[in-house]
Amino acid sequence: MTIDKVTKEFGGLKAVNDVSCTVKEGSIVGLIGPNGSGKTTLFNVISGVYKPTAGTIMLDGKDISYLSAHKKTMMGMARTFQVVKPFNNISVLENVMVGSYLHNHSHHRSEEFAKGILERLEIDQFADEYPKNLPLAIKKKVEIARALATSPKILLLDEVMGGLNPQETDQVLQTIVKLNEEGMTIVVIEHKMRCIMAIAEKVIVLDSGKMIAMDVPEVVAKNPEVIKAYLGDEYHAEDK
Amino acid sequence: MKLLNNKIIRWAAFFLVLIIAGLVVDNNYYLDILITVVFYACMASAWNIVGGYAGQVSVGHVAFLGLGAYTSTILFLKLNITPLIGIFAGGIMAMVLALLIGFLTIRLRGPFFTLSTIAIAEILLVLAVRFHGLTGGSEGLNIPYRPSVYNFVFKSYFTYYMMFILLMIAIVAVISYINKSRTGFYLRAVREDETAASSLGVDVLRSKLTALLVSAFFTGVGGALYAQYLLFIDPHTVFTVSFSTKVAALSIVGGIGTVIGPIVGSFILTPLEIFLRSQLGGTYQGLYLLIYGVIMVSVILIIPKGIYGALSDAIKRRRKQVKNELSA
Repeated sequence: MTIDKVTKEFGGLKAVNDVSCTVKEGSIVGLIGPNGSGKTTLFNVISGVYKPTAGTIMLDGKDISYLSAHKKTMMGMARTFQVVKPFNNISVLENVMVGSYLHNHSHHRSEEFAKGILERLEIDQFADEYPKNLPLAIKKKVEIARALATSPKILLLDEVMGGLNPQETDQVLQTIVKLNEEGMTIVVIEHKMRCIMAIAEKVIVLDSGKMIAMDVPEVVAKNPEVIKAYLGDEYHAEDK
Repeated sequence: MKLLNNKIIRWAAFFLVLIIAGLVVDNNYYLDILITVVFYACMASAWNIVGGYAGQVSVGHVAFLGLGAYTSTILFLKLNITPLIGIFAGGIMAMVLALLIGFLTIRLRGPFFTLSTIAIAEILLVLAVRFHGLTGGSEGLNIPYRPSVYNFVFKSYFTYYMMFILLMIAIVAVISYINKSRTGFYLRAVREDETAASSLGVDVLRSKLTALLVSAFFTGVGGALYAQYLLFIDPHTVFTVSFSTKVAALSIVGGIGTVIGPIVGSFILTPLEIFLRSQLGGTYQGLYLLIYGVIMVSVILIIPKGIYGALSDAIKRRRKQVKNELSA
């Protein structure tokens, strides 16, 4: 996926300002930046929730900049939302089935596929529960499960580890790595630097909508501009 | 498959009981009550496809009803086309209107969609009054009482009753199918969260439009049938917004977004309304509406999922409890 000079303005505010980068097929890319730096907006533009004000987004050599969200999902792009958006009044299994129906047209096959994903994320015991009755950690996993059910080639994860305890975080990390090993391209927004450092091949740093760094994690972590953006001059950005 | 068969058997039994009830009651007053109950069950079920499954609360559904009624009646009176065809023409005209409404309003979310549907129903009311030559204006249209199959006018109330039962079977069959199909899942996803739904590959606009079209078709057919039953239509009967709020209320009280809910709603509330009206109508004008309103508000406040929703939740809880006790 290639993002070329993408800008998104709200009124006069440039939430995303002239961002260009490439996400190599089969890689894990981290997207970091302080609060309000435009990470989620960039995700929204990529996934089709918003249309870009300027710039182009290419996926597999096709221009997808102005496609609507569901068409992008059909092309193999899936995402999760930072503020989880579960379908509260249908069961967890049915939540995931909404995703799995994209490529499985029969009820039976889409149910089997969804069950497989629930097992894989180890939340199959919650299949019949309603998401509104579940803790955040499980809701986040349902969010991932739903996205995975659309069999994406590229997965955009928006702070899926926020609010999880260390054990749950590790579990999700392992899942991400495993998915990646199976060939899935993954872009992760994350505040927990430990996680990003552990899995990302490349890290993109946004600050006030602008991209201020793009490199391997070790280099980015020592980049003075990044440290300044995050914490001011005297600290370094390890394990916030 | 076993579950499916089970359900079909249960529905068959339900309709059989209804038909037998119609046969046993040979008093036209009670048959009229049964017909009204089944008619409103049909209309609430049709409303439920858009309001319950897709979560788009329409208060303009009466537009489809009225258009269906006027289409078949005008075709019959002006062109002598049998209502047998006219009924379906009514359904199709309602779909055409739904398509138009869809293009105009389906992008609107929540209350904005609701408001625009009221406006459309009101526009049709005004048009029906104004186009005097075609619609008879405020005086309405009379269908002459000449019983025959071609005229679709019958001597026996039971024949009408069976027509409405047939419509209800068709609606239940279609909704049961939607309920278990991809369309049903997509509609519920749209109702719960449009942004999340589209991120999972759901074409939100198409899903909403599909629901509106199916719902409009059945409402239009229902309107045409109802016109044949009443043998008289006028703008203030078939384009009144209170019809829309009524079918919405039946669905909500019965259990929104379920196959059975609207039917339960109609079978409880419609006879209740008729009873209250007949008991209190002569003494205190409008008192029955007050009591009816209080009952409805209480149901919505106490059990927001509706009567059927609350019941099925209770049964599920009970089953789970039993299961836990067994495994313990």
